[in-house]
Amino acid sequence: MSGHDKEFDADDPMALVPAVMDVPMDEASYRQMAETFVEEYMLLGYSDEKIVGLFRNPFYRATHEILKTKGEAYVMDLIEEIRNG
Amino acid sequence: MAEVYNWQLGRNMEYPYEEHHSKRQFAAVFNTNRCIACQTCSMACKSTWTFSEGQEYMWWNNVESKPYGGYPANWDSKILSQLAEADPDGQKWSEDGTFDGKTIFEAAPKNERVLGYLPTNAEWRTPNLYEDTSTKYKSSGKLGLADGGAELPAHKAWFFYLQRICNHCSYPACAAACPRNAIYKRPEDGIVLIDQERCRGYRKCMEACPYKKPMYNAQSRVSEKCIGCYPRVEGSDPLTNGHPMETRCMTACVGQIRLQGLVDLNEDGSWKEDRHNPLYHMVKVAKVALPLYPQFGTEPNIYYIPPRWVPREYLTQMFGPGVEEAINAYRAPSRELLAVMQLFRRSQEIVFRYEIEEGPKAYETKVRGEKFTMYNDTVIAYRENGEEIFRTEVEEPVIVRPPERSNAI
Ligand code: SF4
Ligand code: SF4
Repeated sequence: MSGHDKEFDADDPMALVPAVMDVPMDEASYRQMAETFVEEYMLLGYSDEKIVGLFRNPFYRATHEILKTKGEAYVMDLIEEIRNG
Repeated sequence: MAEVYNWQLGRNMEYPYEEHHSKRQFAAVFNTNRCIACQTCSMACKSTWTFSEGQEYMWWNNVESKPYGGYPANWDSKILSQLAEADPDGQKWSEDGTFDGKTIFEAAPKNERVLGYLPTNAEWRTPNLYEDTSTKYKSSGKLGLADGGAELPAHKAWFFYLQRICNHCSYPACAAACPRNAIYKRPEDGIVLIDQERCRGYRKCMEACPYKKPMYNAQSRVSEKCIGCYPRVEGSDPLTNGHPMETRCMTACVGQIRLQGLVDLNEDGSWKEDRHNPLYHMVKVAKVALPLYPQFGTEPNIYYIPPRWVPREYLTQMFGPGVEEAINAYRAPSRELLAVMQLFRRSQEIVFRYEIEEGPKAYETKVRGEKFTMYNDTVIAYRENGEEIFRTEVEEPVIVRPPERSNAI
């Protein structure tokens, strides 16, 4: 039996151990993360419309996830806040 | 113990040896905001230095996902708890930036030179436990591989990547603890090395280093650690053509988050004013980069631009009292800092000096109610002998995929 044919053994102490940290979202740090994205794009000179576009586009996973979770109003408010302080 | 001055603590501290400094110090800045955890740095180091028998578990360079990951597991929370136990409620910084608590030298138990612990074998086993993991993990059995596709989880809580190598400390705990005096700091560049001839594998360095960077080789029965790629830094590696070159982990960095160099030191160990050395600019002028756990007291020489989305209490514990200032300097960079940051990974050579040629205004925008103007300046990098290495512009091309090709994978 070659190594390739061996069954995966969950008790093997040398096997890599993947684990999902399903930590609940905390509002303040979630917002901080979202603010960081917006700030980065603003520093690149992007307009508000262009930034909203990155939240709407499902291929921008991180920003789109925020829009999906929090809704468009949250995103608009975020952009307004970061733009005008 | 002798009294030495530690500028990161803003005070004198106890250390087993008299104060003595190298002429130059190996130092680097890591921008945690930009790391993508590709581990190219880890592989570059491994394939250069730790691919032999007895070195299998060694990652002189590792990148761990904070706050959960660690190599060895929980290294930082363990030493922090030991310190808190030795000095309950005392591990604090005062308003003026002085550290009032105890360092690992000052908290050492009787008959020991340093407070520390020896990690177990199991703790070295998972260099980056809790790294991005598939949430759709289904396996029919063989080797535990996922069937079909896999999807990465959406991170709902904050985390960041922490890049770690030996800090080539100004007051190395590894050297302080070695009963054989086998560990030394090179006078020419401050790189800390273990003399493989003198070492008898007592593992006191492994126990004492708060960053857990010396590692025991059970095959050769001596301890080993990051050697700062010294043939490259010296310019004696044939690849370098005689010009000092950055280490393997730095030059391989895909995320372009690392810049390493050499800083000149005064006799008292303070950094010589060197206004146009990029490291001097980032650490001493812009104050955008901070040492890792300065309260340990070893005066580490790898400086980090803190991740700006992470709760400040956590960052302050990790990088000391300059966190807010560093984040402000990074989120609204000065014209000069912006130019200096372009020096990251344009060349393998060590940049000893930079100059900036002012360019035209690229655009103007508003962030947090304040005007931000971006200038397309040119930054020019010079080698030790004053020759130009390269020049690069601040403005980078931005390429946006057209909607019909938004998924190019
Ligand atoms: S990080 Fe550890 S191994 Fe490296 S010089 Fe400092 S104390 Fe020694
Ligand atoms: S190579 Fe650079 S970007 Fe990749 S993990 Fe290492 S430090 Fe991070």
